[in-house]
Amino acid sequence: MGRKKHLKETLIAVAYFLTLLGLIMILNTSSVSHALKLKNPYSVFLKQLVWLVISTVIFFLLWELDTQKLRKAIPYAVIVSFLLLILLLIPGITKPVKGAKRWFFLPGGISLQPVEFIKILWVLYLADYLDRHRKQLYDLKILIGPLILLVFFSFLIFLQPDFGNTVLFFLIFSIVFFIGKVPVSRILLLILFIIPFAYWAVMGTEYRRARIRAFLSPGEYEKKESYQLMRSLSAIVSGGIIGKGAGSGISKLMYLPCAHTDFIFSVICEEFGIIGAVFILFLYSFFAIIGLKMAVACRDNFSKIAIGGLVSVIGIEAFANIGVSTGLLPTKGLPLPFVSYGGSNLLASFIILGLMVSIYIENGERSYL
Amino acid sequence: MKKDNTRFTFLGTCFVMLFALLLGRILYVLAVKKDEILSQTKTNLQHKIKKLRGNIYTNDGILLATSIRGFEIYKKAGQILTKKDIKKLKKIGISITPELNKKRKLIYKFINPYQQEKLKKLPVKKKLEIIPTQKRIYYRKNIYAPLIGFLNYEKKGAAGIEYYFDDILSEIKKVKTLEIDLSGNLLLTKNPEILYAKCSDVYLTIENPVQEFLYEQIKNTVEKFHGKKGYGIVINARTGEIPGFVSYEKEQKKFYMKNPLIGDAFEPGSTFKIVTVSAALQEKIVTPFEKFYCGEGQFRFPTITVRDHEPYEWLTVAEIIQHSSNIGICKIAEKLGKQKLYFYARAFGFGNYTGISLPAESRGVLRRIKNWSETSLYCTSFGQEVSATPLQIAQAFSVIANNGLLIAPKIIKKIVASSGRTLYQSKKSVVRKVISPETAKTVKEMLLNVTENGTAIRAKIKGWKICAKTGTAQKFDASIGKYSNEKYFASLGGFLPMENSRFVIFIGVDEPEKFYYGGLVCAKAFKKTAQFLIDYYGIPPDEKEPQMLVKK
Repeated sequence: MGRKKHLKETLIAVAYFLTLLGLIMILNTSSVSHALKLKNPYSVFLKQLVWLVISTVIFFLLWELDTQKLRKAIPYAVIVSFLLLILLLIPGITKPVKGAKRWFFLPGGISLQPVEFIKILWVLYLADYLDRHRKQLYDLKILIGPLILLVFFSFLIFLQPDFGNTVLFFLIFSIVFFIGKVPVSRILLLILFIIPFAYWAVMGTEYRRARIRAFLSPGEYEKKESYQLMRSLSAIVSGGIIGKGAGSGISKLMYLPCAHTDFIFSVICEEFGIIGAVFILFLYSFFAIIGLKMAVACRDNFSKIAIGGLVSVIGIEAFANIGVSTGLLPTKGLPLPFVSYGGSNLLASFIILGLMVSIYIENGERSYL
Repeated sequence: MKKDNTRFTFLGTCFVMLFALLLGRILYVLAVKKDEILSQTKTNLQHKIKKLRGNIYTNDGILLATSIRGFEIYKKAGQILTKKDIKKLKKIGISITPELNKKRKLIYKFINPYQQEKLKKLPVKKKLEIIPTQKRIYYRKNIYAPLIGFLNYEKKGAAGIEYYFDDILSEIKKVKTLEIDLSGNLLLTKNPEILYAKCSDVYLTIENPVQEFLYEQIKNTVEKFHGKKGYGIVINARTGEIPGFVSYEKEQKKFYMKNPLIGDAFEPGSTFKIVTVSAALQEKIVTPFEKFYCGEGQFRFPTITVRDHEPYEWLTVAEIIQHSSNIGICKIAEKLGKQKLYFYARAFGFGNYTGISLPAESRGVLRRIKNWSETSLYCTSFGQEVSATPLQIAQAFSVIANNGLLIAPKIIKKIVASSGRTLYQSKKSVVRKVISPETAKTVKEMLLNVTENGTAIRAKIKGWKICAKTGTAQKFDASIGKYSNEKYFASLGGFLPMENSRFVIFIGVDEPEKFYYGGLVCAKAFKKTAQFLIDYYGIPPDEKEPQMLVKK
C-alpha cells in the first residue's frame, strides 16, 4: 500500500503544476494585449497571483475540516445558495456583464461568481443525501427530492443566463447518482423527466440557437458566434506539432478573444503545439485517475461519492473547456480549471482540491495508518 | 467490507476516453482541416509589409522619386457604408463614393498617419480595415518621367529605372511578413523596425541643371519647328556617364512604357557618315585630301541614282563631310566595300545594345551582309537602310571624341544602402578600340570644319572648337513604300572641345515642319547646350586658331 500513501501529494503536485503553468500563460497572453491598450501589462498576472495566495491559504485551512461538521452545515448552505442566486437576479443588486448577471462586485475590484462555489455545494449535498438514503436508492420517491432541487438550481442559473453551468449541474447530478450506486434504470427515468426542460432551455432563446447553428457550421466566418471558434482553431492549427515556441504566438495579440480565460488552451496549442496539448490532457487525465483512486480508498460511502463527484467537476470542466476550444462542443464560457484566469474559478478549484484532500485524510488515508 | 468499485473504474475509463477523444479531435483538426481553417482566417490578419522603397536621386542630389508611409482602407466583407459613415469620413478628408457591393474592397488608396489616428476614433472603423502601405511621389515629373518610369497597381516598377532597379529599390527577396490588427496597428513581431526601414537609393548620372536646361532647349525646338518628338543627350565622353537625357513629346503621355531615347529607332541619315569616313580613313583606303567627283547634284551608280541637296563637282574627303555630300560618301563606300563598312558600323555600336541600365532598349537594325541588297552599300554609307536609337548615334560620336575608344554609356552613378554604405559605384568601362587615335584626330578635324564652314555653322561658338555632324534623314513612308519628301528626322550630333573632348551632345527632332535640315533645326539647341556646358563645367576656350584643311 506504499503507493497509496502518496496519492494526495501527487494530486496536489499536479494541481499546482497546472496552476503555475496557467500563471505563466496568463502573463504571456495578457501582457501584450494590455500593453497595446496602454494598461499595466502585469495587472492581470498580479491579480491572479494574489488569488493564488488566497486560494493556497484557504486550501490549507480546509485540511483540518471535520467532515461531520461539514455535513451538518450542508442544508444551511443550500438555503444561502438559493438566496444568493435569487439576489443575483434582482435588478439593481448587480450590474450585468455582456448581458449576463453572474457576478457579485465587491469593493476593491473583486468579483465573485457564486455558481462556482454552489456547484461544490451541489456535489456535497448530493453525496450527503445519497449516503443518508443509501438503503432506499431504488425508491423514486426518495430520488425525486434532489431532482426537484436540480430543477430549481438549474432554473435560477439558467436565468442569469449561464447555460454552461446549468448543463454542468445536470451532469454532476447524473455522475454523483451513478457513483452513488443508484440503479441505472432509475437514473435513466430521472433523465427522461428532465428532457422537456432541456429542450425548452436550448431552443427557447435565439442566441443559444445561433450558437448551436454556429457549432454545426463553423465555416461561416462572418458570424459572430463562430468567429471565436475559428480564431481558436486557427491558433491550434498554426501551432503544428511542436508549436511556435513559448511567447511567439500571435493569436493572443487581439485576434483571439478571451485568450487568457476561456481560450487559454488554444494559446498553449499555438505556442507548444500538439506536444503541449498532449501534456495538458495527460495532466487532467492523471488528476482524474488519482482523484478517483482516492475516492475508492475511502472507507465510508459519503467520502467516496463526495471525492468522486468533486474530481468529476474538475474533469468535466476541463473536458468542456478544451472541447469548446477545439470545436468539439458548442461555445460556452467555461474556464479551464487551475489554468484559466479568474479569481472565482481558481479559488473554487482549490476549494475542491482542499475538500478532496481533507475528506481523504480523514476517511481514507488514516485507515492505512 | 466488500468493495465494489466498478462504477468508479467505469467513470475513470470514461474520463480517460474523453480526453483521448479531445486529442483525437485536435489531431483531426490539424490533419484534415488545417488548410480550410487557415484560408478562412489568414487573409485579413497578415499583411506583407515591404520596406520603404528606395529613393532616386540625380548625381547632384536632387530628389526625383521617394516613398512615404501611410495606410490604405479596405471595406470589410459583408459591410455596407451608410451615408452617415461617408459623411464622417469626408470630414477627415476621405471622400468615397457609396458602394453597395458586399465584397471586401479597396475603397481608399492612401491616408496619412494623421488621418489614420482620426479614423481610429470613428465608429465606422469597425467596418474598415486599415492596412499600412506606401505611396510613391515623383518630383519634376515632366522632365524625368520617361527616364524614371512608374509603378504599377501592385506597386512594382513597370518602366524605366523603377523597373530596371525594382529589386534594389524594393528588395523583394527580403520582404518580411508583419502582423497587424484590423485597425492598422502593428503587432509586436520579431521585426517591428521594418516599418521604418528603407531600401537602397539609386543615384543617376544625370546632372539636374544640365537636364533641365536641355529639356527647355528640346521643348523650345520641338515647339518652334512643330516637330513630333525631340531628343537630347549629353554624354560625358571620358567616363560614359550621361548628365543629360531628355526626350520630349508634343503630346505628353501620362506613362512612358519605354524611354524614347533607347526605344525609338530610326534611320540616322548623314550623321552615319562619320562611320563610313572613319572606316575609310582607318583602313587607309582614302586620304583626307583625296578628291572625288560628285556629279553636280546627281550621280548614277550601277544600282542606284543618288542625289545631293546642292550640286558639287570635285570634293576632297574633308569637304564631303563638310558639305554632307551623299554622292561623295557613296564613292568612298564603294572603295571601302561591304565587309569593311559592316565591320565598322558594328564596331561603332550600331545594331547592338548599348548596355545602358534601362529596360526596353532597342538595338536598331543593321542587317547582316548576306541580307544586303545591291543598293545597301550605298544607302548604308549615308545612313539609310540602317536604324539606330538616339543613344547609339550619340555613342558613335563619343567614339570619335574619345580618340577611337568606345566607352559604354552609363545612367547609374551609384547605389547607396540605407546604412549609407555604397553598394555599387559605376566605373568607366572601355568596350573596344574602334579606330586609332590618329584617324580619330583626322575625323575630328573634318567635323570641326562642319561647324566652322559647313552645314552646322549655326552651332559654332567663337573661341571653342566644336566638332559636329548634321543629319537630315528622309523617313521611310510605309504607306507609299518609299522615302517621304515631307517627313524628315533632323539631327545634330557633336562634341566639344575638339582636343581632350569632354561632352558629346546629340539633338534630334522628329518630323519638323517647313524647315527640316538638321543644321537648321537643331543648331540653336545644340549651341545653347554647348554654351551651357562650357559655363557649367568651366571648359576653357581653345586658344589656337583652327587649322583649316580646306581653303575658304
